[in-house]
Amino acid sequence: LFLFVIFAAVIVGGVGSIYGAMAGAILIGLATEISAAFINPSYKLDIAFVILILTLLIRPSGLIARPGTT
Amino acid sequence: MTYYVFTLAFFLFDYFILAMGLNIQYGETGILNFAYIGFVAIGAYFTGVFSLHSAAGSGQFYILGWGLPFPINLLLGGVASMCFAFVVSLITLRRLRTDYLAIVLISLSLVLYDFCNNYVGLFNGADGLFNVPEPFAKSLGLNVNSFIPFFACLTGVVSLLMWYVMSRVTRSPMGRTFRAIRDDHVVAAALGKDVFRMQLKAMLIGSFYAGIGGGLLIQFGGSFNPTAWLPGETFVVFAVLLVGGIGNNIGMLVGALLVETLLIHLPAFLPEIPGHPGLIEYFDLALVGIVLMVMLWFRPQGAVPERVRRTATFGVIPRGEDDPGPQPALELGEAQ
Repeated sequence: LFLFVIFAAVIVGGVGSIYGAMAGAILIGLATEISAAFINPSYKLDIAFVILILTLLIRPSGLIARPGTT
Repeated sequence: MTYYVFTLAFFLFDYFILAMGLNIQYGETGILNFAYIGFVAIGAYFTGVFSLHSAAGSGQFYILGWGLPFPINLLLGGVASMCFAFVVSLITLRRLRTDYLAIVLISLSLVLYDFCNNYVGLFNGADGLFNVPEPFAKSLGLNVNSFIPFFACLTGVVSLLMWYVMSRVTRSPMGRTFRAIRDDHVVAAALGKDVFRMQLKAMLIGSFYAGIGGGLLIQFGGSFNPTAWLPGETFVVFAVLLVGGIGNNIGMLVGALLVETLLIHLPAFLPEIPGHPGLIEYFDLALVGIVLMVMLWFRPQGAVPERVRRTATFGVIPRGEDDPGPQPALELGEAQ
């Protein structure tokens, strides 16, 4: 299950881009932990998946796309 | 003894239905549906809440509770699964393909699992539904012992009926279009087929089968809770599909017999190894993995390989003995 959270961080950041992976990891990590303050903490990993799904639907190349892939 | 045999027969027929549903999605159309067990669970839960009576006073919390008789609640469970698949397909299928589609679908099944596991008001949360009425138990006067053989035979009849429908679907022009999309969706689109619509149809048919299979599961056991559909269970259905051989329906029966009956459910009835209680049950999923790897290594086309379909070659002139000439686009090679 935790593998998919890391997957989410990589894809949100942009596959193939190192700084993108860093940015994605910070985004996913903060989003899952901060969301626990507002909604039921049982759902905190689901926040990561929702962000992943939204990223793939709206901006499939990720936050920081590798040059030449967009 | 008859109890064991008929329980195994029930799981054989039920996974036959489930594998046929996955076959039309993955084996025929090439949609890598890793959320399949989610559709099974939706079908099972809705079959349960349609057949249970009102939630008040039963110690459970769930929606609906209409108390419908047996065949109607099963069909409505299948339809509920189709509605869910329709929403999922509208979100995902239009923009995503192959690996990314698989990632999104498995994420969706994880989200669905967490939601059903934690939100008690929907399907009673982690405790799951229980005391689901057994079909025909009152009208035919069945008791605990006679219910299992009866329901295994009923499942067999249902699965044969669904196999007949599915074999008609796969032989129809629509089935040919599905396989054309699996082999190359660009070619299918170039020939004027609406790839999204066809994939949507395949998802709907497959999820109806998933819903029926899940509904039969909850009717057989009388209860259903989230541990029965951990997202990893999808891969058991995929193992049935790959061992049986993708792209043909009889292979699904063979795969269900080999994987589901022999490896998952038969070990539960074997005698214990002295000094190691529960050892056999813990090894069943590992055995499935080993069998899947061995199968893909030595016989990647599955136990029953897909039939090579011949199509008429209108206007294609062979160029010589070495060059067989252009192949028609819809002719299928062997399964990968």
